Amino acid sequence: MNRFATHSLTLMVVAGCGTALLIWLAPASTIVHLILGLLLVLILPGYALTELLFAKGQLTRTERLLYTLGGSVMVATLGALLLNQVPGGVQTNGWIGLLVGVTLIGTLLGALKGQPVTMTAAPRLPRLRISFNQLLVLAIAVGVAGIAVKTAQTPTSPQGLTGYTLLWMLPADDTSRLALGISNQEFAPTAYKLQVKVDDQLAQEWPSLLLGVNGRWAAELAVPATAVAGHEITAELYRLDQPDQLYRHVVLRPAVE
Amino acid sequence: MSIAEGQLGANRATEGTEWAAGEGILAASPAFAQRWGWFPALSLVNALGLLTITFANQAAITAGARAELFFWLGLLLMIVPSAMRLIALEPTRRERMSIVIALGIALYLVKVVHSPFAFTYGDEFFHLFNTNQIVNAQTLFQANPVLPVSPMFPGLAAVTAALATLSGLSTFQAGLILIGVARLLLCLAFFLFAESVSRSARVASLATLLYMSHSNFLFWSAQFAYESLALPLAVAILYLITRREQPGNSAQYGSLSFLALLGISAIVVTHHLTSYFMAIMLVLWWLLVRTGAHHFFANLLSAFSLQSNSKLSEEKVANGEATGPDEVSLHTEHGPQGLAPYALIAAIAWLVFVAILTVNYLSPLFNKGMVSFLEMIIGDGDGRQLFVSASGYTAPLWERVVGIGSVALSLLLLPFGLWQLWQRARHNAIALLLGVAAICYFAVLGMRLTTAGWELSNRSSAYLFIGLAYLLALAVTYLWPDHRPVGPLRGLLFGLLFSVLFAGGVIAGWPPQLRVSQPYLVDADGATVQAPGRQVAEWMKLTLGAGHTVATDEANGRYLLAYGEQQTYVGRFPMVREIITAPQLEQRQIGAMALLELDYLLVDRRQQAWDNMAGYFFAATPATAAHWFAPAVQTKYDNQPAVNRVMDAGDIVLYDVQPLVADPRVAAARAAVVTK
Repeated sequence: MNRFATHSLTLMVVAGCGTALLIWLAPASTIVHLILGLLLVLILPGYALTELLFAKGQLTRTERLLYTLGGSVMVATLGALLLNQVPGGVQTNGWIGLLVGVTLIGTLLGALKGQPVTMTAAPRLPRLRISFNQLLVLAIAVGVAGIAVKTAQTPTSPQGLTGYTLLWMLPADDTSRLALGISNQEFAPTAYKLQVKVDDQLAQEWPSLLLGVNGRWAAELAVPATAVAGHEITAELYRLDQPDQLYRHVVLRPAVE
Repeated sequence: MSIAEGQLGANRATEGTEWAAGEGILAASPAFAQRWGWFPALSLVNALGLLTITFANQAAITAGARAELFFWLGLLLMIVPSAMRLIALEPTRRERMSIVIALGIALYLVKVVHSPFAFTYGDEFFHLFNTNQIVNAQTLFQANPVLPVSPMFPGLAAVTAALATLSGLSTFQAGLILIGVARLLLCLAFFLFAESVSRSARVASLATLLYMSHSNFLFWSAQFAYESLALPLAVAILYLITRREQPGNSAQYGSLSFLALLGISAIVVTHHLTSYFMAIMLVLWWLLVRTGAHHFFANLLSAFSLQSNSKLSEEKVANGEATGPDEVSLHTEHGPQGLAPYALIAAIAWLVFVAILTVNYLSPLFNKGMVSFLEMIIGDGDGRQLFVSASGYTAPLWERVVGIGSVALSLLLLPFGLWQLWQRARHNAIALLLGVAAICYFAVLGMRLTTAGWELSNRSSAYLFIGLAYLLALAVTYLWPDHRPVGPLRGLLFGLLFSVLFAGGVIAGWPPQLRVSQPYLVDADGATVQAPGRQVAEWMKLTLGAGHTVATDEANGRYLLAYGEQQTYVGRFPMVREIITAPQLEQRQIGAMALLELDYLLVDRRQQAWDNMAGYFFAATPATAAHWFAPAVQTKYDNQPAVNRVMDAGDIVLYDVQPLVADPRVAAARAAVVTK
């Protein structure tokens, strides 16, 4: 095994095992987790596969990029079919085992395969030969594109749009009770009045319910099944800023057993 | 050394020199810096174009005024300067490749800024659901009630699930990144493939650029769907095969073949249409190479010409005097030997043993399309009005002119491309196949004139346009030849012509009102409010639990599937549209509800909810009765004694129909429906 192969082997083993270990240890949804996940799914398996299949100097860098990304996608796609044969295989440990396994096996076999064709010196990381001005312009381009995406992610102004409110009434788990709820999806805090009627007779009223945006209100109402069977139970919701206009209504018609 | 070896060696040498390790990243010599050429500046221009489109999207939601103008300005800002640079003779291979990749990514970001909060294209909901099912159930092939065929091709969902699981990203974010990587692969693979066939970086960059003008590139092919991942892999396979048969690659033959086999397998489990396209393409290519039919055909046609070039070429090859790429192909062509049968067998085996549902899914598409097209030819069918959307929107005059102009321009350039193909590559099987694909593109284009044939034409365009883009690139290099400098005016002329092609594709590919963003997430008093359909779907999962059987419209059905995890029946199922939109409730509808074993009905009074592209957003206000169903439709279930109105969200109402469906009297109606 020559110097290149030794370096490459060490690098890939460290990268593969290190990535797997860190994904296990790192808390979810951190930048470390994100980078390692991307590396393990989209880069390492394809890179190891390319190292295994092609000797140094046989590929241009663009080809290597194509095979690395494409190979990684292929490995994950086909590997999923293998993992699916293992009970509970398509989950974190299964994915790590598969992708790190392919990376390590590819690297080991690549190192054992023989001397690379053209490599005579220790590997060096590729350097992008680019002038400072060009790099600056590229950085500005990335920044502008980032601003565009960030701006697009700004929620829309409510101007010209109308919010809404959800009202619901369901039989609770205990059949002698009803579950009532309101979810305020209006664009401002809203005050409501809720009335529950049985055959148009007021049974219960909540005269003022103030809910903030995304605010949720829920309550349970005792209604003995024998008393309401065959009757119509209606919940009517009014907004206090429009008290005479029925805003939402729901209806239950419990059947007679 | 043959010219092919020379060219490939030159590519490697060029790239090797261009990328050679140096003294430091900022210590580039002017010569090195020049090799990037206009790439950094054009990247900045692309970013500014993206910013302009973001502004257009914001304007579309808030004010509406001039949004369309800014949308088109942003696109022109991206494509015209890149086209002008690529038609020039000066750019290096590295610069050309960088420019097409940067443009491809920038155009993908147009889709990202269009829908930055969630997937909002109709098919994306199915694949989001499939991905979430894999993440949650930790197994593949989970049923999808709305698009049952989609879980049978789990490639996209599986890779997205892996990315989401290992990176901590949401499935939405993981999907965006994966499709972005797919777009990068597509640009890279297309460039390398076109370069491999044409042996010219200029033709390759122009072909890649021209491919971006096909009608599905900007939006459809950027969506989170299985074709968006499979197509780049298919182009990569085509490249691997052309790379495999280049002279001097015998040492890599096995490696390239292995990689191609992996790729073919991955495509087979990722997308049905792409795997069939690839299998057909490879088999035709293989048959041409095996039989030498293309040589026979070329020689036959040459016999009628004054100079029998191909005979001369064969003699030159025999004497070892070959000088042109076409001539070299005479004795180096192996084609997809071994790979074509595998692609065919793998695609058929997967279809028969795993995804037999695909037959029922695709056959109506082909049957109706063909029948409709034939009926139109004999003057017996219902023609489809061009430039009129399903919702009745008629495109303005300028869009119609540009749309037709782009097709006319392609047709005008086609003979030049075919002539160049004949001159340069008539003995090259894959080049000839690309020519055939280009001609087929126009044949299939005629299907757009029929209602049923439109989808077939639309779906096939992404594949056939590979050939057309190559031919158009040949035509362009004929009209702007390599030996004549391209000044600013001639460059601008090409930029404008390409703009017509590109704009025509966008106009044909996506409804006008949806090219800019629609209101999805609203800022409300420091908090955010989601579109009603999504909120209702999430409420249903939280309050009623997952797995209920619900009949509803197209848009809410997708929301209920992806975010509510409900067993959803939408308009494509028999009787569902009638159950919801008929003004009166009749026995046969009740029977159908029993047959579907419905638990709930979700009724949205907005007609827009039946549009699977436009129904996911806040309705523009003031909403008018013209946008709603008739009052009788809205209140049809309110007075039914065995139906409970359990949730009211204004436009959307949820009815519990379990008492109705469970009624013994319904059994008769159900039986009647079954009999019928």
